[in-house]
Amino acid sequence: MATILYLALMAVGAILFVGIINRVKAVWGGRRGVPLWQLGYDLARLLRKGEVISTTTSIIFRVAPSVSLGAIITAALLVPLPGSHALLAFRGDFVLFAYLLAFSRFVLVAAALDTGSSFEGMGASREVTFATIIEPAFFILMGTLALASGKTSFTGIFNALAGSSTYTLVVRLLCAVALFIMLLTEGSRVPVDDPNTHLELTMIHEVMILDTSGPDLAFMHFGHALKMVTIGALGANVVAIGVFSTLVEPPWAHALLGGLLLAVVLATTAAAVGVVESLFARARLAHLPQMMFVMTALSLTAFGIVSFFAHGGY
Amino acid sequence: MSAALHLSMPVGTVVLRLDRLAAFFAIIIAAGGALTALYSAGYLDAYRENPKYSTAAYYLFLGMLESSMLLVTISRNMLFFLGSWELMTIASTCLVLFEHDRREVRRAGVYYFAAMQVGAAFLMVAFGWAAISTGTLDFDGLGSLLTHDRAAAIVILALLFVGFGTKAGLVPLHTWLPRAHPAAPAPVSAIMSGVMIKTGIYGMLRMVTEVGNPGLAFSAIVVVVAVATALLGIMNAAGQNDLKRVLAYSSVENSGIIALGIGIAMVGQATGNSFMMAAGYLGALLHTLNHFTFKMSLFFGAGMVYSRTHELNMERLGGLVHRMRGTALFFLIASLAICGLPALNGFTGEFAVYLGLTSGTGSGSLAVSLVALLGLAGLALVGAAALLVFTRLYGIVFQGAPRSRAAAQLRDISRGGRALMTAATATVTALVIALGAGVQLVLPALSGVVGELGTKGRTGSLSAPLAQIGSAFSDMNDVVLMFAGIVAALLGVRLLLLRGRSVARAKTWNCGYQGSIERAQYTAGSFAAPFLSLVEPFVPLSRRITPVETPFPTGASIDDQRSDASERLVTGPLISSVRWILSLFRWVQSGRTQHYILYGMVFLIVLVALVFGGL
Repeated sequence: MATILYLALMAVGAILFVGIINRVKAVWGGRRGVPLWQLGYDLARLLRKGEVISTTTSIIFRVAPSVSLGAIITAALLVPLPGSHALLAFRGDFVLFAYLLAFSRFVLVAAALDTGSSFEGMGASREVTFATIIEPAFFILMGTLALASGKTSFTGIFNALAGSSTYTLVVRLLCAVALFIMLLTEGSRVPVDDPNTHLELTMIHEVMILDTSGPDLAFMHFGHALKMVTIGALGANVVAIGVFSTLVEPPWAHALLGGLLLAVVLATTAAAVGVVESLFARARLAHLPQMMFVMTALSLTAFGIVSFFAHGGY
Repeated sequence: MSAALHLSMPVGTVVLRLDRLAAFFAIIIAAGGALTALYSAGYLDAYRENPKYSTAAYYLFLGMLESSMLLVTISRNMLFFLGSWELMTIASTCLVLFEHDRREVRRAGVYYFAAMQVGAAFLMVAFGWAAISTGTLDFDGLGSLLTHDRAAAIVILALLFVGFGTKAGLVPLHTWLPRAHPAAPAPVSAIMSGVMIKTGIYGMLRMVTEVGNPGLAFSAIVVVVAVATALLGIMNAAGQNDLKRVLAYSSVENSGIIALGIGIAMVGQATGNSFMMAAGYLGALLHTLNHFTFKMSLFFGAGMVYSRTHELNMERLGGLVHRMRGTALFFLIASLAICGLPALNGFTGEFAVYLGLTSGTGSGSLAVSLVALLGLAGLALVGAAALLVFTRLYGIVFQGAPRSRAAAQLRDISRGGRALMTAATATVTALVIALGAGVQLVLPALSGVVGELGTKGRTGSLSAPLAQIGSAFSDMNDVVLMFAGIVAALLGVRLLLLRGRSVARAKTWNCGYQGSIERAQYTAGSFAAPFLSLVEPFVPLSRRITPVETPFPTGASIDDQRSDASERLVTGPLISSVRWILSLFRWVQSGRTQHYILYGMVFLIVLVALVFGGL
């Protein structure tokens, strides 16, 4: 029940997430904007098309979009609906989560380098560089939550923390902001990347898929949106700590409440991304690592607070 | 479970014993030796006609290396162990020197030999000291060290770790790897990186089991050194352009990951966290086994590339995926595995280490939490950087368009030679896949080995945590299967959608530019530049520019080299200070025969005086 609700929300949410971001940006700029479902229309159109493939490429280029999307879908399945169990929860599942995202990154980069285009090489280089900052920060974040809860799976961590209230407000805030930075980076949004400028030397994600077309491009776009809502769903679980502590009877109402929370958090996050994109310009590339190290700093702060309490407050 | 053989030798009774730990390494050594022999038969085909190179000597030393490594694993006597250890060094040095007519090969061979002797010196001092304080040359005597003389035991164990760490390639004594590997023939690099450096790991595991665990501080230092090794290794790998140097530095990184497993297992043992201990040792063993498979596959692939292009500089390769399909496929699988990506075997070992680390953050004291956090962040950074290094390696060497004539027009090699090399590479790559999908099948055997590790001063059995780890592995495997299923379904959907539709071929989109793109491709140097600028102090850049100084066009050039900071800051000063101390005694070497005879006389007189003086 919870799993089906979660899957439905994620699939629809991925499309609406991009829609909401664009709508917020449009309204902020005084325009009406494209329909909320625009990404859905785009995907349907791309899925009906044929493809144009570069002569430089090998089979890697053709397989990569499917593998990348598959990895992101599998990663999304590991995240629980707030207040419920994930489809599969086990010790250290967050490690698998991070490495599935890495798998998707590897094939994406390999596909980009397959074309021999210097633009795509440039985007690929930035993608892997930024991951070297974001991934350690993510593991510090998860290590902190593991320390706070004594559990090491997403479901275990979030369920164990659900009832605690001593220091969770600060930790929740820190983790939520850290995850938001991760979302901006992994999702290639402003100020890291600008999804509107398709062919500039400053680009990261959009430039890596320059030569991709047809159903493959649809897979890439959907995978990218799904990655954003997956990180958003992690944020929803963090927000749910303490808020969503008691079991609601009957079970379907409990799941429904979790789904509602997830939907609200995703919509708010999308609106926040839209606001950020309206207010800020893309940052200079050389300054981006500084912004990403903020995620590391936030995670370390959270770790400091949690270990202060966990080790008896000295 | 063990089998023992007692030999009467001049030094006393030498015991050879095959227990689970020894058997684990012996299996890797035996399999690695067989694969190397198979591959060598093909690789050396090109050298057979050349009278300068002796393939007979090559196989002799390969056999010697193989048997000495096996002796190392089963020897229970310090002297016999050191003898086997030195035999291993001699054999591998001779293998590195195969192409002895090249100057850089000779230099690398001498450097390697010297580095190995430095490592062996630490072992000799440690074993000598241990033999004097315990009164026996047998490994079994080591157990009493820690209870009798704690301080001495800790120093001895530290010396042993330095000695074995040199072989395993731990920072800062890893400098021989990036020198020896590019110089050695590909199969020699493969067996050295895939198998021989594991004898250093074996030594650490054996010693920490025999001597016992000296406590949290020692264990924490092991973790710190391991993380430093992994980080420095992968950063340097990103800064190199020579295909085999990249792989050599990546071996340093992987030794760091294995040592991290050992380190956190020791931390777990010191603090009574048996889950951390079991996960750490299991991770170390799994990664040892896995690294053997994918690193051999990668070096075999590099050898194939070299034999077809005679080029190891990445900037002059490219586009091989179209011309060397088999090699490109094997290299891709091994690259995915070495990045620790799920579904392949590289993930399993790192997953176990992560399990140990996360259980460490959540329990025990603040010190343990901090050590575990360091390991967690370090391993994550290493994983992300490894992804950079191997997408770069694969993308520049195999993908895109050829960057030079060497890469565009492959050399012919004999069919038989190619078949043998392909067979060896295919076999070891099949192991990469099998160990990834079938990790459940090897887990019980490895759990048996883990049960034998760190038995001194251990409280309780490791079977309960091992069962917990096993269940996490089985769930992990389910998700990986699901992943494979989803990918297969998506590929099916893609094929269905594209059936009957136009799939056109066109040039890569370059803003409308239709000319050739070979020379305009992104380079290995520029790909790694953003990352390297973040870690600049650890891999400092030295740039040589020859500018255009006349009004007319002349040959201008720019040459970027990344050096290893640890070499400049630690090993370099160390070597020069040792040389300075030794230079004080240079006057002894007068070069006159009379003086040397005098030294001999004085030595004999002193010796006679000492003996008869009752000492």
